[in-house]
Amino acid sequence: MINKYHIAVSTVLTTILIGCGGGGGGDSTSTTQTTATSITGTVPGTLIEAFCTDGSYYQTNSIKTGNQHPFELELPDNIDCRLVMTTNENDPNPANRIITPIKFNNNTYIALKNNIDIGYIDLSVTGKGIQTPLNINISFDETQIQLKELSIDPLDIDKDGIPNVYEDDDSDGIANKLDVDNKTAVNDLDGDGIDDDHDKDIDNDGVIDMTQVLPVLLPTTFNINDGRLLASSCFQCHGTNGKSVNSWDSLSASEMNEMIGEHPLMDAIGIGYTNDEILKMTDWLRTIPNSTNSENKGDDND
Amino acid sequence: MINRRDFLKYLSVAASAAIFPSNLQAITNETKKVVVVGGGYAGSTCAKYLKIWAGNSVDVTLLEPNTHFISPILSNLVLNGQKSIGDLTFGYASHTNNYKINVIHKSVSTINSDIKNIILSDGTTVSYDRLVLAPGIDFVQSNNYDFNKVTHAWIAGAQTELLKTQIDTLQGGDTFVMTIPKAPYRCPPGPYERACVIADYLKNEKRLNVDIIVLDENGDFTVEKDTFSSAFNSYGIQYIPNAKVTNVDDTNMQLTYNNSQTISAKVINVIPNQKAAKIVIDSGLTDNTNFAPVNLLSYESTIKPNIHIIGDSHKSSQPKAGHIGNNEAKICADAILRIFNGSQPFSSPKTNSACYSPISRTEASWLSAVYKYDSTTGQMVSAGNYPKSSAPSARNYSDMFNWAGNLFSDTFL
Repeated sequence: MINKYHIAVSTVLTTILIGCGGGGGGDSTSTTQTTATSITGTVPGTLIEAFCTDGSYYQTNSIKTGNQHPFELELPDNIDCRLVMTTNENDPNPANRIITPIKFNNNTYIALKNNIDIGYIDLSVTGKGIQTPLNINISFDETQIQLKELSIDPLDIDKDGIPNVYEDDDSDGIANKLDVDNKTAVNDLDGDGIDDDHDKDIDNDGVIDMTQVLPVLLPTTFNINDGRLLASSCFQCHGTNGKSVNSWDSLSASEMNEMIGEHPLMDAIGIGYTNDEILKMTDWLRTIPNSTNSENKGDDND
Repeated sequence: MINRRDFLKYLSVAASAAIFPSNLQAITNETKKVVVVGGGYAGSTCAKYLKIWAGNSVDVTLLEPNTHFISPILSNLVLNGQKSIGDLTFGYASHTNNYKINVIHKSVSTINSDIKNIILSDGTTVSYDRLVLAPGIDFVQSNNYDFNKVTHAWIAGAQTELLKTQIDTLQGGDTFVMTIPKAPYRCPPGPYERACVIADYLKNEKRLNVDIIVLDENGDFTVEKDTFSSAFNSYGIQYIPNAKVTNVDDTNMQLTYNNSQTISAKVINVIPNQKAAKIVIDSGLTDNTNFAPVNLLSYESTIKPNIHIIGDSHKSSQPKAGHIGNNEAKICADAILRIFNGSQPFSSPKTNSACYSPISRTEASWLSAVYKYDSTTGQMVSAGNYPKSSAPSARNYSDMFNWAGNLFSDTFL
């Protein structure tokens, strides 16, 4: 399992449920959960968001405890994430929300290796709209976190310190993410802060888009099949079991007849295989569900 | 979603389980255990295909100290700003969730081949029926210097970011020098590709007149000579073959080659000579080439039984690279499963190699070969008139991401 660690403020934490679901006035949601929990209510304090370079997005609300608003946010282990904090986060006018990107020791990204308490954060409560990044100096040891700048920042393409989603392209004082009349300004369909050119999960369903292949049905026994072994050499370029995840062709029995003459690299590799080998591969491909011949046979991947 | 046909399929599996419980019990009792060490292109693929092909009849553990893998393939594009490290980072969630592989993020300290177990860094013991080692490469360092000053950037990640940062400090009139290791090394076109990508970035994008010197310990371009020599000429790269690095001075930023010539440079990138990873050498699995000889039908060590070595640490004429490492892993996985089932490894395996190399921000070349097993010599030999290659083009540049995308998915997803 992939470890997750917590980033927190205030050493006194109220009990907050972490992960999917949640309860009380505090709620953590993550786009990696298939059932997103919506946050409603009148919880005062701050919205804390984490935008991570692996395409994941996390958020939580702080909970008012006396004069403090402690929060606890669960982040993936060793993934570079940047934080944005919003006060007046429930103001119905998005222009009145105070949105502050956070830096740590002048670094934009934090990767957690262990839990860390970053102490009190003196967020502005008087400004409006997107603020210049707030730098927080924290002390830590190398076993807890790593701080860094990225040479190419998919979350902040123009590198002005303001994440892509919080740019204000039409200059109406409302950040793109919150701006109902300017949703198309950002190349970011799912609004997770990651430019789609770099986003591995464009629909934010929690599954990396390349995994849009058949559900895996593992066999119960091993059966020897020379054609399958030979065909598996094609999968580096054509995807597991011949299911391409991009515009290169998927494999099927009929595609095997059109192997030569379509692509120079395929031609170069194709001549390295004998007709007998290609026939064995084709025979095996006929047994694969969803290939053009799959209606004839209902076998699984053996 | 489960469609009707899938539902019937699941139902029939469930029904046969109910009818033949004793049969399943027998399988459980005989479950063989494979431990795969290393979660790169070769190891991740081997673990995945053992389960795709044998499912519950084999128990697979993947040992990888890091929680995420950063692909060296495409990583030269981080240097010129076309890709981020995040774009090239992959986790093991699919191995755990889809393929039911036991992924453990620990390193191996000792292999006890006589009693078929390994001891992990934290002292715990893991036993195996078959052990697959896919730990990649290690560097041969002839003199001590700090990789944080003089990068290798040949294992992607922080080193790639560091080299990128250093390159971005270069100004007109500065010198950048990089070195190419003696073959065999990981990714034969990679160093030449890197020189081209950096030269294009500095000269054509940043418009800087930087002196770029490439020292090659080999006597000539090891691959794609036409493509790379022509590109080097057009970029004005000074190429010096037969240049062996003999000293690196990371304080004064000076590099000496052939014990006589010294170059001062603002940024030095030394790609060191390479050998099998430490665990392979420490376990006595290598010969005098510092790589591990194997039976190329199964990748089982010819020195110690029940241990297989795939990818960059093994010794053969196949290139050391991710694409073919993935292919070797499938041959190895299939051979292990056939052996478990009382059969012999497939007698005539083939592997293929393909590699796209960016030459600039808009063009790429490719190189490919197919290898067949030669039963007379026991070697993998060229299956035709190989290698074949393609001159740089814009079409190749866009194809490069399809190639890498399917390779990433076949390995990690």
